[in-house]
Amino acid sequence: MSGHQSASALGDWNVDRQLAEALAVEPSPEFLARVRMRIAAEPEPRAWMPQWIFAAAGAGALAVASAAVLTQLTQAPLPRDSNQPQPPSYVTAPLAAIAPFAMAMSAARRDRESDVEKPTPEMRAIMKSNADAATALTAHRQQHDYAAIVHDAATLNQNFAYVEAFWANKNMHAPIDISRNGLKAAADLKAAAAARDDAAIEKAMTALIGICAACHMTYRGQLPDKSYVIRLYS
Amino acid sequence: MHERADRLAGGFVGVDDELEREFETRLVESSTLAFRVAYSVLRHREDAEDVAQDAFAKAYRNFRQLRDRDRFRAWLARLTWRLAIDRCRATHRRQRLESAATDSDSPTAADTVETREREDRLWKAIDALPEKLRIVVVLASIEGHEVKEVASLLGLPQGTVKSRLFLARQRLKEHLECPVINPPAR
Repeated sequence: MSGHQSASALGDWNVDRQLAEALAVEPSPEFLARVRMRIAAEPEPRAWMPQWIFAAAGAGALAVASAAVLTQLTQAPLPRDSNQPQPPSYVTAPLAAIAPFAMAMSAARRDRESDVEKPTPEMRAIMKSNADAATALTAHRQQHDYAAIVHDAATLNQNFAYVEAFWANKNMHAPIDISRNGLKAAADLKAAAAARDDAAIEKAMTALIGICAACHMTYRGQLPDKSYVIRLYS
Repeated sequence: MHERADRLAGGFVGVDDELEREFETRLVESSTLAFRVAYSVLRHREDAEDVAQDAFAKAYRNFRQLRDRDRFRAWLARLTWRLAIDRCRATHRRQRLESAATDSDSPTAADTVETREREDRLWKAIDALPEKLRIVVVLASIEGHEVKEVASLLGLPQGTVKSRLFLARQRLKEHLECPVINPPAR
């Protein structure tokens, strides 16, 4: 830019300076925390290794099958007069080779699919309420509106109690523990707001972000149609 | 699980620890850049934060595939710019920019009226630039980027950036110095 200082000498309209001033805006203090929460709520990117391995295995199997077909076609004519036609070996051999993998993968997929469930409208409402409370909480913290923070904490407390009951009903201990951490963080938040202790509020909010993220990362899945499911495994 | 939650409370958690740490580093060093790039298009703090968040989420999803991690800032800047433009077009935000810009400031003195008028004119002039000139002049103004850095961010030769910068400034000058054709916005 320095090489163009002469070009930027615009008299009263020093564009560079003005634009630099206009763009000298800082994101809110909560911005980074919100980005982290958003990212934590993202479905985990799929690891490239297994995909690559399966793709390579598939391509290999296809290549073997193609080679077998070509070999058979060039070396031996198809049996045309058999009374009970059997699948030729060039078809069965590659299939037999990949069948165990295919069955294993299929079984694994079935297991996973059977271990998820769609959230009920009530659960969706709870999650929406949590998200709204988190957004409101950020604003209230900025405004130092301690009464409103107490109210947000009460909402979160109520929601975490529902979530705990949901997981208790599934008899899944790990997410029950997460929910209890949420209850504790909500209680800490309430106490911090009542004491007008900004540092403690910040600490409780950070804990809440982590707790929500931990649960979403582990127990929330997303289908190709972008809808969410609850994973009943960890 | 407690350990995991504790770890999450401290920051970003993803698939692989090393990758997570690297992304977290990139996130911290690039968050202001992403926000400012989005703000330069949207001129609205909340929207800019939303778009920057979207950009980071998208960057996270594709981080593993980024071969040259040192290009992260460039990649993020272009991604954020594109998302901000999309957002702007999708919501017809531009029609509401004047009021949004006015709302985002808090005038306390009489001379801020003149400042705002000038700022309004400046943004209008910038908005009138073709996109390829606009992104160059905006990036050059964010964090005092030099031609070399803008070229690196955009993946363009330095000569191209210089000529675009020159052209952009000329057009801005013409736009701003011609109050008859471009009356100050109220």
